[in-house]
Amino acid sequence: MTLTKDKAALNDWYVVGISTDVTRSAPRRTRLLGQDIRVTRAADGAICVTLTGGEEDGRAARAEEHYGFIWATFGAPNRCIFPLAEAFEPDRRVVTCGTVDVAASGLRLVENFLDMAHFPFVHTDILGALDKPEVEQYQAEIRADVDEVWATNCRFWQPLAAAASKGGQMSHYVYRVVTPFNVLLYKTCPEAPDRFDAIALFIQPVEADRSIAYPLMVVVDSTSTDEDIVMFQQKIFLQDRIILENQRPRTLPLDPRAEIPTRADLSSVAYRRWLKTKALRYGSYEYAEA
Amino acid sequence: MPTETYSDHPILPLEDGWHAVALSRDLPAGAPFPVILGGREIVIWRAESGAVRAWVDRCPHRGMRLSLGFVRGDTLSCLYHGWRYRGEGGGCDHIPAHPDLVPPKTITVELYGAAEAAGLVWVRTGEGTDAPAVPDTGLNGAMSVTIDAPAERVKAGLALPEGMAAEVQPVLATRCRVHVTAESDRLKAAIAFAEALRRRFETPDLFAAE
Repeated sequence: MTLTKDKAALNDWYVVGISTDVTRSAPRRTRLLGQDIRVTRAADGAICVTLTGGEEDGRAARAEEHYGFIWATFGAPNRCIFPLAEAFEPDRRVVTCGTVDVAASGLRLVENFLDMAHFPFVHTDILGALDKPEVEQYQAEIRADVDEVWATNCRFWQPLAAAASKGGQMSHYVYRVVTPFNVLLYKTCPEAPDRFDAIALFIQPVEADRSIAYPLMVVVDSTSTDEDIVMFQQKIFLQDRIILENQRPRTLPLDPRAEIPTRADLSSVAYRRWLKTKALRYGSYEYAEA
Repeated sequence: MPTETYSDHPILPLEDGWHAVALSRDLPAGAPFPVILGGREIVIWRAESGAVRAWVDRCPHRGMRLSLGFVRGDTLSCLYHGWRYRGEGGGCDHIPAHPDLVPPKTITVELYGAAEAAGLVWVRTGEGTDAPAVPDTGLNGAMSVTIDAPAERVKAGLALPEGMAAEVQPVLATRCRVHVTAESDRLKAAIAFAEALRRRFETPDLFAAE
């Protein structure tokens, strides 16, 4: 494996580990965009990400820590790591939910995260019910001012919307794709219906068709333990993994003839269009063919 | 003819025509069954009416493998979003996210010819609507074995005993599946034959000694 030459992919920030997992005595070896890397922590606590092997063996990548994660970039991103205001609210729980390895493109993971129509079939009796599969009309758009994809006015009936749920609720959702491999949602908080829980899915594209997913919960929940929250999120994501590893191709086809969308896929259609305007190819079927 | 571009495996050239992919008795109604034929990912399934279908193992909506889906009557639905496809013709007739929408006729799975003969399920590659040119042997399904060896090599070294027949299905370049059928009083012997065949082709020193 060698580092990709896809400029759009290189010039972005990616999570490459959980902050608390990397200590002075426990470095981390992993791979990002096809490039092997070493993540180390210095005596003063500073994090360092170094390329290992390949043409640029030994080069240091830019690295920062935010929201409990280690972020790295090989290139020169034209913006900072996106703001996540909720993470700074005093009564929020900010819970990193471990990692899940998935043998599929990170772009497939983002689309699955944006998708409501699968809730009744894949997360039966949790995020959806088989007798309520309808996806009502919602809006999706590319917001040029912030260079993000948003889906708004999303509503879905959920038997068990979160770890803290006591019963079913009509969940309101807002989705926000902040970079091609990082996505957030805001959904009705069961404990405080006037507020929104934030859930993020940060994706480390290991290779074009292999990913590490890092879910992050930023929730108002005074009853669940951290373990309850992590277990709930892991259960959901392991159900999703069955789907993700069985989609063909494992990469995301950008050719509009490859897959047929319907109205419920507005957000996916906007996302694919946005990827094209950014000339992002890493993780797409067209890249795999190149 | 189905497009096979999106398979997880390299597509091997195959002669156009019928290929055995399973024993009939291993395909009960209601349980979709994934097969790989020369790299092509195919789902075979039996409707509750008994009819056998063979489709590209991929939902046209978001690429999900249909072999993880569920059969109701003569329809197969995708696990991911529940899109439902008719056994006859493969057209989509229901999209649960939009229950009032009549799915456009353009939403259809890609079909292979499928048939049953001589105790086996057959899939047709290439153009053509003929029936499998297979005599009805009257034999019964005994066993299918996967062998990590090229199909041609196994085919050449079959050495079939009396009262048995075998079809070799190319799976990947170095993997095949052998479907053994036999007369009803030779079933135990046929199972032993299939297992011995696998050992013979997968054991390197024995193979080298041949």
